[in-house]
Amino acid sequence: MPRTELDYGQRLEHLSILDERGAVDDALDPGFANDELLRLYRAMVLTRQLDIRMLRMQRQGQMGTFAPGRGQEATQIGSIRALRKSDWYWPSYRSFGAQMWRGWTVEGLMLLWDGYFAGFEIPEGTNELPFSIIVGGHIAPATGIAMACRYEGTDEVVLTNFGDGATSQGDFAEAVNFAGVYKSPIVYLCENNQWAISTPFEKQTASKSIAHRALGFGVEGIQVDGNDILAVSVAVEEAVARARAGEGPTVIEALTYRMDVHTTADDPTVYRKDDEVERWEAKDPIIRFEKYLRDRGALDDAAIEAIESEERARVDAGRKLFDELKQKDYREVFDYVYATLPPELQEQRADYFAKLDRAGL
Amino acid sequence: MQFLLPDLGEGIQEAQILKLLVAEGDRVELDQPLMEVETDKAAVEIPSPVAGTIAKLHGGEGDVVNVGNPLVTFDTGDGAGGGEAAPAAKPAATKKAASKKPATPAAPATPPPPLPSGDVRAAPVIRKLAHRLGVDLRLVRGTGKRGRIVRDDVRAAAENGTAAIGSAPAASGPAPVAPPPVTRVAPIPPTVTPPGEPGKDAHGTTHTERLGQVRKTIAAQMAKSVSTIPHCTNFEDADVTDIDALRRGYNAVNPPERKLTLMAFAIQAIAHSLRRFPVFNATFDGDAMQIVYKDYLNIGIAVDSERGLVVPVMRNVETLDIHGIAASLKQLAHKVRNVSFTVDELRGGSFTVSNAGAAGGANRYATPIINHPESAILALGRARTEPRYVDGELRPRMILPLSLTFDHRATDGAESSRFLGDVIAQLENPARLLLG
Repeated sequence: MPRTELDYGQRLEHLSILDERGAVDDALDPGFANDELLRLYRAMVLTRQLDIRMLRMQRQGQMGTFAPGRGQEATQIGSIRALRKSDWYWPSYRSFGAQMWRGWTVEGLMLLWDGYFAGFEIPEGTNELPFSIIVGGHIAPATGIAMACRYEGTDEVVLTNFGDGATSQGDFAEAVNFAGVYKSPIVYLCENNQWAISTPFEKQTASKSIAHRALGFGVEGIQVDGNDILAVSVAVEEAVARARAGEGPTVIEALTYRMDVHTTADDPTVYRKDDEVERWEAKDPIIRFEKYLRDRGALDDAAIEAIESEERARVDAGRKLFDELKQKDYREVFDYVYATLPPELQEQRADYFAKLDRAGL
Repeated sequence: MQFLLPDLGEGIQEAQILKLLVAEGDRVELDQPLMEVETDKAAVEIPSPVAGTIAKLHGGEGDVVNVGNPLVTFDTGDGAGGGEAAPAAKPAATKKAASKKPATPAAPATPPPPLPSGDVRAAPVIRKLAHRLGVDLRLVRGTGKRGRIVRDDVRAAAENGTAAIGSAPAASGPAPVAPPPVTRVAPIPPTVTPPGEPGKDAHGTTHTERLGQVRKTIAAQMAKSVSTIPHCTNFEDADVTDIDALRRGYNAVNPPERKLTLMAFAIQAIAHSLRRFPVFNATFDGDAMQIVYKDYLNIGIAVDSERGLVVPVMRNVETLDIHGIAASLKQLAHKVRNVSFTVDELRGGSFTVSNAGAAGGANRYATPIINHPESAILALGRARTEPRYVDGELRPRMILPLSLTFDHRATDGAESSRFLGDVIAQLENPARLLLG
């Protein structure tokens, strides 16, 4: 009869291991070996170099519209490293770094974003899905894959990432609810980069955090500093281990920031303030990781410079390949969806081809 | 090597050059920033696609370049297409300034037959521009990619008037008569330079002035009032001939410091009427759904000052006779002239009188905006001599125009007519005024 407090013993943590000055909490440091650390560092540098190059190419008319990810490298690389090749990765559209870790190539991503079908080729030997352009549209089907993994008794795990805006879609709630009920082996990684295009986080939800929402679905949740690659690595590794052990899903909220435009067709200066961007510049994930690596003696100025120029060269080489591989084939757009083209599309195709013929293409 | 303006957003048609970062003859590196341009979607920096020398810039700052047209010609030193080698298929850039003749082909002199509107190829922003400029897009020949209509086409059509809305031939109507072209002359020079920072928008040069505190306060107060209070205004005239005669007679035999103005009589009359119609000296509280009647008469006097509109408050008018009101008016005027009033002296009003006529603002009638959270405001026009029928004869009379705005949530038109009628009855009959 009386009012009593409901206590289900659920806890919610925020995890930070490497702060923005590069100082580390020794007790929490996962203690990765130097070559593992450098592999992560290199992947972050490659991600950023690709970003810079593609943004320039877009301004030079040599790249289609795409979504740059500068500032979110730690979340991407820190999360993807926990997956086995046989695990499933279903990214959103701002995940180049994680995709390259899984085997996507520089030239492939360039082809893809410049609108060539060849770029959609899935790397051999991994369980990949093409990124989702539809905001939050992949969260429910990713959950379906996780349910299938459990049903079929494999030990595969699914990682899916999405932004803060996607959590406002009904799909997110339905998916996490089902995964909770069926203890599906899936990790929901929300890259909370504070902006859903021009909608700031405080207008996205009245929740104090995205991690918080895990509680309502009765699943594990944690918030991490998304610009701290060690914190992201630890949180995702734990979540993947739980999923693999049959303990169900985890909602991870990685607090990070979209340093650049939403896409190349966007101008954030009209909706957000420079001082906010400057505050986040100071929290750059690569700079703090460099500091950590220097302090461990794993990196010095010469190595930093060498890695940057090597990764830039990798991007430039990929760009050369892209230039060679890109071939405009206006006729392939009908080729890859249906095995047998339905009659109305056959009609459209004939019409379209006739137009191409008239235009001499 | 010729660098054509790429589509920098998704489906944009043109870009304006905001700032050039290089000049013709400059040697540039690959990826070196060349210029800042602005599209419908964003302002972006364009990095050089090659290393080489700038042979030609196809537009200057402020120019608009269409997507797919040449932006920069590079001499890359390999002999392939320096300088003028690459044929410029289309004119490169067009000046924004209206005085310049657009370089793009103008709309044809004879309009092409109108197309069904579904076949017009124009972006929404272009359609909007056309609507604003009164251009019928069906009559405009597009010079953009695949015949798309671009901004310059619309501007050119607007300038030479060949595609005005309504000039499209009706399906089976009489043949259209082309309207005469608009001839332009030298612009009228500005007599006053507007305050603020010079700048420009999409249509020409501008000045931008940041608001001062008084203006900000007025703006907020006005917006709050009109967005929360349903305003309704009554217009009436008061024949103040008799009271004016009384006033002049009194002033003629009294020292200047005891001089009485028509305003003092008006306030006296209003004070009496507010006592009889308290809903005009009240606040409508929409949150609590109640009307708060004020027992005090604090009458704000809206006047023009050096700092803009201010409304100093004459307190407890119910305790003042006509001489007290006149003295109080003089004090307020003195403070306004010397800008020596305090913020507190502008607060706590329960009704406002706008002496619009004296300020040279509204000469006759106005639709004054209620000073939130009051429930009414009365604007006095300028009293003037006008012919009126009195006792069957046309006579010169002194007429004071009155405009009363009230909060229609608090009361209705009939009550406001009665209130205004009561004010007027006093102003037309000195005995009634002086006896209350």
